[in-house]
Amino acid sequence: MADIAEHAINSTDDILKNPQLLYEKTPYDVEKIIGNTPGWYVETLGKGKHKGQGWMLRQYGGANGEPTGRMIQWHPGGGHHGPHPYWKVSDGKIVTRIGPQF
Amino acid sequence: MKLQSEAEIIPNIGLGGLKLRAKITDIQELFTGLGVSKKGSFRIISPFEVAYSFGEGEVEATVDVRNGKIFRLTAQNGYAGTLFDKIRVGMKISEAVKSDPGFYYDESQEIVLHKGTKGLAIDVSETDPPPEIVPDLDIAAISVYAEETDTLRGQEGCW
Repeated sequence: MADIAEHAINSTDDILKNPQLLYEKTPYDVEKIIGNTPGWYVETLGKGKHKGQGWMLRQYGGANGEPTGRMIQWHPGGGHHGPHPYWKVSDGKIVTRIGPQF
Repeated sequence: MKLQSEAEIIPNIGLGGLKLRAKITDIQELFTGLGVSKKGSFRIISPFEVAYSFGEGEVEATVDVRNGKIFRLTAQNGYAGTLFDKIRVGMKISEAVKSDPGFYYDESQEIVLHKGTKGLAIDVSETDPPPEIVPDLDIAAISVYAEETDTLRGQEGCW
């Protein structure tokens, strides 16, 4: 199952369309496949209580290179959803969380 | 230079008497002795960011180590100044929204933003809460940041 899922991730679009592909993946797994996607940038959580933590691949675009709202985030956890890390994906409208706790 | 924990909070400009985009080399007196002869602390929070906490933590300045400039200033517990003359650290999110309907919760970034205002991010008192419980939460911190850092060029350190 893991192998099938790994091969299924070829692009950021794959994840935005099917966030479940991230299940049991690590930031390392994901970054090595899609970390160099043009227009997307690898960073940590930039705001909120966990700023500077976690891992995030975020899309920038438009004339001023501002965030588009699309992002793939590995959240460190430790709050409302329990102590364990999880994935959080936003396609710009809908936010989906992926992990054993969901 | 002295910090002013009652100063107005101005998005994209500054708070606490500190200005965004200031170079720490120009205000070194605030940083020297921090944690030893002055109350406060500092820590690396990501490969390119160092956060300096002053006093009891009521003001935090985050610096991009690639250019030495302050890109974010955060007012935390103990900060007495206001945003828009009425929004304070510690007040309920519901009160803030009632006084100004421009505030809204961004679930993906887990912060409260304000329509039409750049360089502002409000932390809530819970980690990654579902939107329905956000009104009952408190404002944990109010951050202002240099708007140009929230771009691809800014993330790359070119600002």
